[in-house]
Parts: sequence; structure tokens; C-alpha cells
Amino acid sequence: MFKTSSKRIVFPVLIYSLVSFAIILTSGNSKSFTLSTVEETGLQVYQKKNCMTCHSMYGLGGHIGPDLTNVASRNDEQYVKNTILFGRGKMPSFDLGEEELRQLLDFLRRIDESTIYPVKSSNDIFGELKNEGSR
Amino acid sequence: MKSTHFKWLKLSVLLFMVAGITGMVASLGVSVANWNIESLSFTRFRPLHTFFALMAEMTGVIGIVAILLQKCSFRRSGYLNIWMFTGMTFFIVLSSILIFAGNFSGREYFSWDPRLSFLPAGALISTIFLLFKHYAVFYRLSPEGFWLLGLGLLFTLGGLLESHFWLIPGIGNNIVKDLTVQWHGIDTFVAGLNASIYGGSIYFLQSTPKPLRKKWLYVIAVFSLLFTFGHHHYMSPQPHYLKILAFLASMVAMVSFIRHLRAFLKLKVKVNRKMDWSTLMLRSVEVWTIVSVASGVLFAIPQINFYIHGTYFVVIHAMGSMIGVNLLLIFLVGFFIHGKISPARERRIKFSVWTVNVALTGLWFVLGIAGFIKGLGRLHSNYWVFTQEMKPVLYFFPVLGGILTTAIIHLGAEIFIFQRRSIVNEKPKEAMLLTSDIPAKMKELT
Repeated sequence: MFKTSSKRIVFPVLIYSLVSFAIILTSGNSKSFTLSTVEETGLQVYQKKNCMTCHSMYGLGGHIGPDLTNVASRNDEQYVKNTILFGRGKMPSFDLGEEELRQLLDFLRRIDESTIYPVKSSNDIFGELKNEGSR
Repeated sequence: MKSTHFKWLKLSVLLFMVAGITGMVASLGVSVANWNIESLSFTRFRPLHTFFALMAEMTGVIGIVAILLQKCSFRRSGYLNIWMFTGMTFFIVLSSILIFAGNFSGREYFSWDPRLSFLPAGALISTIFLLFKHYAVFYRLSPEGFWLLGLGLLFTLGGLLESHFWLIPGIGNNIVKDLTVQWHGIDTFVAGLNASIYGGSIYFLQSTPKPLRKKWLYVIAVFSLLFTFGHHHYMSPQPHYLKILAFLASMVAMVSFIRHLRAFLKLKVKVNRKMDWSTLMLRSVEVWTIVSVASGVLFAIPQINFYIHGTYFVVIHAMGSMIGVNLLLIFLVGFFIHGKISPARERRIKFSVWTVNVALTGLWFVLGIAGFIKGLGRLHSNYWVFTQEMKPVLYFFPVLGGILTTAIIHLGAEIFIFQRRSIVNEKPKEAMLLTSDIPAKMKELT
């Protein structure tokens, strides 16, 4: 009986490891999802300032602020810059240098290129890509 | 030595209380328009709240294992236990100070500095080592409980490790790979905690050793556990096959929902004032389990997920499962291992359990309405418009959160009071660990 139980623990753990490995191998393989060095530094600014506490990307993250997936294309760049530097509504102002701000905006532009969110039509229940080739 | 084993559970209870307080402060940041107090800002208190909630569950399950080990007189584990406890306490205190000071990881849920993660990982590895070292006793007492506890802890550790893969070059700098791995890690971590808390509590709540269930049920459980994470990603550019697998896994979870519902209906529960405190807590756990599984299955249907993804529905689904199921189970174990409960104290406990249930139900309505407004609003209007529409509803969020927190603090305080009448030094009686009739067990213990 214990043999059965140990199998029922060992197999799921093995399958779990395989699934994790498969996810790493198969997800985000398009080059368009890999960040450049500048964009990666922008991601670090995003994390350092804990933006995801209030904001989401692809709907994943905080609920207070607007989703940032397509913030770069749906707004004027100056508007985004001003919002970050001087705050708006509940959003506080962030003291970012010119370089950091540029990196953050580059990162947001890359996210924007990956997909469309929120999708407006319920026909696209599995999301809508901006660039079909990137799937 | 004895107190160290109980300290885990006390730490868990304390963390649940602090998680309630920090959550309430964070909810003020959501509802109050001009919440400009920097030291009480949402950006500080939301990560603190999620950190305390996760740590409360983790220390709770370690506490359950520690008490079981101690009850079975595995005294040698005591020294390891002290090191684990000291390390975890240091980790929790230091991480909370760092998060409060603005030193975040900037990641969802795993908000602490990743350089400190070796401490919770070490505590989990030690717990798993001790559990499997004494598998014969645990397995004999409850095969089902051992499977859930053992696998749950392994998955919790796996989820914790996976959530740090973003530090590996090639993963962290790929936006889609990073998000996919991150959410698989979060889902596995939380599912592992749910399974292990449920499995651990079986040792305290059941009268007869529960045999292993049929093989196909395990296949379904593991399949669901491994792939449901993908429903977080219906809208992201992750591989299409993961979305299809996620949909199948989530629908298969319907089996679990039907089984829970059937088991609950078979009990023919009649809620009344005469119901004793332990039965009330157990029935509450059963109801919230059904609500959590049902909402999880519904939210994973792509046509529904389209509307509720990224809304407050997700928040209340998580609260129902973490408070209505996990917190109540850990508190139930906390009450269960301590002394006799007087009628006056029983009345107070019952009142607080009812308060938790009512506040959670209220939050389901409030956050559900806010979720509907956002889900529909983002299709037809913009962020500023639907945020204004949600405002009146969200005023109830901190009010209900305050009521919920007060009830949690009261229940936690009662556990601390009971500690004085600890029965842990008694000779281990294995049969005592498996008694479903809680009032009878309490009588026997006291």
C-alpha cells in the first residue's frame, strides 16, 4: 500500500519537473519577446518602483491603476512621462532621472508590441496578438 | 523544546492577524480618494499584506507537521525545528522591514528580496525531510493525509523555487517566458499550500485512517494542479497549447466540485444556534471550499474569464480560499490542540466565526459588483470612467475588511489564551490524532 502512495508522490513530482521544463522551453520563443539591454533595465525600474502593485500587464497584477500592456500606443508619450514624473489621480509622482525614464518607456513600448489588452471583442477569448508571427 | 513546536502555529496565527491589519490599511488606499499618507500607502501595504498572508499559511503548515512530529515523540527533530524557526522568524522580520522601507522584489506575491529566499526554502526542505523520515507513522495514521501533506509540501517548495527562475538569464529578460513561468510558480506554490494544509488537518479531524482514493482521481488532481495556471494567461501571448490544456484542466476540476458538493449535501447540515464551535468551523470550511472550487472552475471558462480576468473577482476568489478555508483550518487545529473551551468562550468563538462568514459573503457581493463594473466597463468606456463608477461600491471594502480583521484578531487571541492549557506534554496517543468528533475529543483530552 505504501508503495502505491510513494508512486503517487514520485510521479507527480517528476511530471511537475517535466512540465516546468517544457514551459521554459516552449513559451515566449519569438525574438520579439526578448528584451534588449535597455528594455531589461527598464523592467528593473518597473520592479524597483513596484509598479505591479497597482498596475497590471495582460491583466496580471494590481487592480488600482490602469493596465499598462498598451499604455505606450494608447497615449501620447509626453502624457505617460508626465504621469510618471508628476503623478495623476491616486498615482504618486516618481523621481526618475532622464535615463531611467527612457529605459522604462522603452520597456513599456516592447510590452505594447506583444499583444492587445484588454481585448474589446468577446470573439477573442484567447487574446489577440499584435503580430501573429510572434505566436 | 515543546514550546518551539507550538511557536510555529502561534507565529502563523499572529501573521494571519497582521495580514488582516495590513490588508485593511491597503483597502483604505483602494477606497479613499485622497489617501496621501506615505507611510500607509497602498504600494507598501499591498506587498506587506500578501507577504504576511503567504507566510501565515506556510508557517501554519510547518506548524501542523511540527506538532504531529512532537506528538509522535520524535524528539530529535526538536533541534532542527529550533533552527528552522529562528531562520524563518529572522526572514519574516527582516523582509517586512525591507518591504516597508521600499526594498521590494517588484514581483507579484513573492515581494521579498529574493536573496533571502534560501531561508523559507530551507524551512520547507527541513519539514519535508522530517515528514518523509517518519513516513511510516504518518502513512499508517492516514494514507490520504500523508499523500496530500507530502505532495503539497513538495509542490510548495517547487513553486517557491520556480518563482525565482526569473533570475536565470534568458528567462527574466523574456517577457512572455517570465510571466508564464512566474504564474506557474505562483499557482503551484498556492495549490501546494492548499493541499498540505488540508492534508495536515486531516490528522486532527478524522476518526478513521482514510485510504487512498481511486487512481483516476489522482490523475485528475495532478493534471488540474499542473495546468490550471494557464487560465491566468488566456489573454497573454503564451503558447496556444497551454491555453487549451489550462481550459481542459480547469474543466476537469469540475469533478472535484461535484464531489465536494455531493459530500456536503450528504451531511444534511442544518445550521442552527446549537451547533458547537468546531462543527460550525468545519461546516464553514466546507462551504467556502465549495465556493472557491466553483468560482475557480467558472472563472476558468474562457467566455467568463474574458470579463472577470484582472478584476476584483480574482481578489475575492483568493480571499475566500485563503481565509474561508486555510485560515479556518489552521485556527481549528490551533483550538483543537489546546485546552477545554468554556461555554462563554464557545459563544464568543462562534460569534467570530459567524462574523468571518458574514464579512466574506459581504466582500463577495462588494468586490463582485466592482468586478462586474470593471469587466464590462473596460469594453465600453475607459479606465477613468469605470473607476468612478466603482467608487461608491468600494467604500464598503475597508468596512467589511475591518469587520473581518476584528473577527480574525479575536479568534487568534483566543488561541493564544488557550496556549496556557497546552496538552502537548501528554503521552502520545495515536488514536487521538484521528478523531472526527471534536467535542468528544476535547472531553477526552481535558
